[in-house]
Amino acid sequence: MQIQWPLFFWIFRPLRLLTLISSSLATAYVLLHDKPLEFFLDMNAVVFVISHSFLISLLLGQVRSESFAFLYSQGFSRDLLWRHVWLATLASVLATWVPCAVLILTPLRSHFQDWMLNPWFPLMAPTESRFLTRSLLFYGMLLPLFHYEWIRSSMPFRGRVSGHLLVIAYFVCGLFLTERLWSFSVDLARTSMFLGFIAISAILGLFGYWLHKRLEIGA
Amino acid sequence: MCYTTVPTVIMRISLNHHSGDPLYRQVVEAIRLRIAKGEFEAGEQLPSIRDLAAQLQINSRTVVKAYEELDRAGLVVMQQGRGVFVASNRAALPANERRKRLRELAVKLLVEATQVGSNLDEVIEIIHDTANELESKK
Amino acid sequence: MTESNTVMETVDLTRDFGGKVVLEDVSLTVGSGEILALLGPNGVGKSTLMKLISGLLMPSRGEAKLWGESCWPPSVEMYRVACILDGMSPPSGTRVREIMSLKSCVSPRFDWKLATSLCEQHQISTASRWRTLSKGQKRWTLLVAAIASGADLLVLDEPVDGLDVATRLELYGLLREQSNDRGVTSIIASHIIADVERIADDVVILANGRVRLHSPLEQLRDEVFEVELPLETDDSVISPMAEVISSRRASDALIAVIRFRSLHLAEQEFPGEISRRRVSLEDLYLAYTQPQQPQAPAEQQGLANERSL
Repeated sequence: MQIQWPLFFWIFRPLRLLTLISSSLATAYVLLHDKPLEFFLDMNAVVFVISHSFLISLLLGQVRSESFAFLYSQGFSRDLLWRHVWLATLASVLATWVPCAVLILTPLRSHFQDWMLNPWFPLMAPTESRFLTRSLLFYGMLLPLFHYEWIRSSMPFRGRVSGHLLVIAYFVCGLFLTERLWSFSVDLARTSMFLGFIAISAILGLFGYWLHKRLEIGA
Repeated sequence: MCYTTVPTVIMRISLNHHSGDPLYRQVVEAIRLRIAKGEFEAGEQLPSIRDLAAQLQINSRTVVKAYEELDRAGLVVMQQGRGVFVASNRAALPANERRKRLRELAVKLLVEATQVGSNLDEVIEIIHDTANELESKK
Repeated sequence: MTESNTVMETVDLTRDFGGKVVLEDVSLTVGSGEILALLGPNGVGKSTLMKLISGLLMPSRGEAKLWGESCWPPSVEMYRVACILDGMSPPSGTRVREIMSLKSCVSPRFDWKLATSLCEQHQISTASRWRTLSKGQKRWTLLVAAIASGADLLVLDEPVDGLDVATRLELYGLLREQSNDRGVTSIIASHIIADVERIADDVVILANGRVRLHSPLEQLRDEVFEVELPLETDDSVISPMAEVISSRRASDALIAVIRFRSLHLAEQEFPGEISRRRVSLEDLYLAYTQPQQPQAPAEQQGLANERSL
C-alpha cells in the first residue's frame, strides 16, 4: 500500500489538536488511575473512547466545508482518499494509545503506582494488557460506525437523518443487550453479542467505503 | 515557456479581439499591408506557425488559417518542413478579374466619400498621397 | 476539432437538485487543445456542469465522459483534470508549499520550477499561509497549482475573479501557451465577455440549463451580423440563408442579429438590405440570453417563430 505523505498530513491536520489532547489525557489517566484498569467496567475509559472516535469522525467528516471540497476536487482517487482517512484515524488512535501501552507494558505504570504505595500494584499489573486490546477493539467497532455516519448524513436529499438514527439505534441496542447479557455471564451469549456488533461494524465499514466512492462534492 | 528556435521576425500585429472581425482575417490583412509596404523582402522567412501563435497569443490553428489564406492569394509560400516565405513574384491575376476586384473597392471608396461629403478630386489626391507614402517606406 | 481527439464529451447530461432541473440535455464535445468558454447568466448551471465534468457530482441522467471514460463514479484518471471551482478552498492555515505538494502528489507531472517561479513573480512566498494571502493571490496560487500540475484538462470556474488586468492577461497567455505547446484543453466559465473574446476558441452559451449555442468563435465572427432590412422582410427570405437570433422593428427598418448558415452564404446580400455590421460577442450574448421584450403583434407571427429555434 502506497502512502502519500503530503496527503496524509493534509488529512491529519484537523486532528492535530484533538490528538494532542486525547494523548495527554489518556497518558495522565493511565499513569495516575489508582485502581486496576479494566476496560468495560471503567466507564471513564469507555466514554473516552466513544468521544475520541466520535470527534475523529466529526473532524474528518466536514463534507460541506470548503476545505473538504477542495481536497476532493484535487483529482485523488476515492480509494486513495479513503485509505488516507483511515490512516489519519489510525494515527490519532495510535498516538493516543502507544504511550499508554508503553506505560502499561514496560511496566512504568506499575512501578509508579507501587512507589505511590498503591496496594494493588505490582500485583495486578499483568492483567492490564487486556485493557489495551479491549479499548482498541472498541475503537475498531466504533470508528466504522461513525465514519459511516458522516458519509451517510452527507448524501443529499436522502439519508441526511438516517445516518444519525442508525448510530443512535446501535447504541441503544448496545446498552440494552449489554445490560441484559452481562448479568447472565453466559460466555456464549456474550461472545455472540460481541461478534454480532463486530459484524455490524464491518458491514457498515464496507457500506461507508461504497458510499464514499459515490460521495457528491459541492452539491 | 521558452522557445529555443532561432529568433525570427517579431511581427508587431495588434489584434482587435472585440471588433467581431475574424482574427485570421486581421492577421491576413496585417501581413498583406506589410508586404505591400515592402517591409518584407521576397523570399524572406516569416515566423513559424508556432512562433506567431506564441507572439500573438492566439490559437495556432488561427495562424494556420491565415497563412493558408495568404498562400492561396499567392502572397506567401508555405513549404512543408521549412517554413513560410514571402512569395517572390506575385502571381498576377488575369486582367478582367483584377479590374473587377479593384472596381468593387472603388465603388466602396466612392460611396464612403460621398457619404462623408468628399469629392472625386479629393479621393484621387488621397490615393496619390497614400501611394507616395507606401513608396517612400520601401 | 476535427483533427484532434475528443477530450470531453457530454451526452444528454441532466442534473436536478431535489426536483429542480439545473442542467438539461447538455451535449457538448471538446477537442484537445481547445479553450472553451462557458457563458450564461448566473445560476444557469455553469458551475454544476463543471462539477459534473470534474467528477464531483452524479448526473441525474446522461453522462459526462473524459477521454472516453465516464466521469461518474470518479475514476483514477481524474488527476489529469485540474479544476478550480466555486466554494472550494484550502484550510486557512495551510501554506502555499503544502498546496503545491498536495498537487504534486496527485500529478506525476507536477512542475515545481514553474510553480515556484510563477508564485515568486507575484510576490507569493511558498511559506505563506493561505489566510495571509490577498484575494487575487489566492486565486493566482490555485491557478498556478492547476497549470503546473501538468493536467491535460483545466476546468476553471470564474478563474479571474479578484485578479487585476495584467494578471488576467498573463493567465490568458499561459493558457494559450499550454494549449499550443502541450495541447492542454481549458474549459472556462467567465462573466467577462471581453476576456472570453480574447482567449476562447469555442464558445458555449447556456440559458435555462440548456445549450443555446456551441460554436467556434472565429466561425461566429465570420457568420454573425446585425443586418438592417426593409420592414416588410419576411422570414421566408431570411431563413434559407441564415438563422435569426434576435430581431426588433425600428420605425423604418427591421434590425436582426442573424447567423448565416455558411461562410459562403454570408457573402450574399438580402434583397433590399440596408446595412450590415459585425457583432461583438457581447451583443451576440445579449441576443441569445436576453428575453425578448413583448412587441407589436405583427412581429410575433413573423420572426418570433424563427427565434425559438
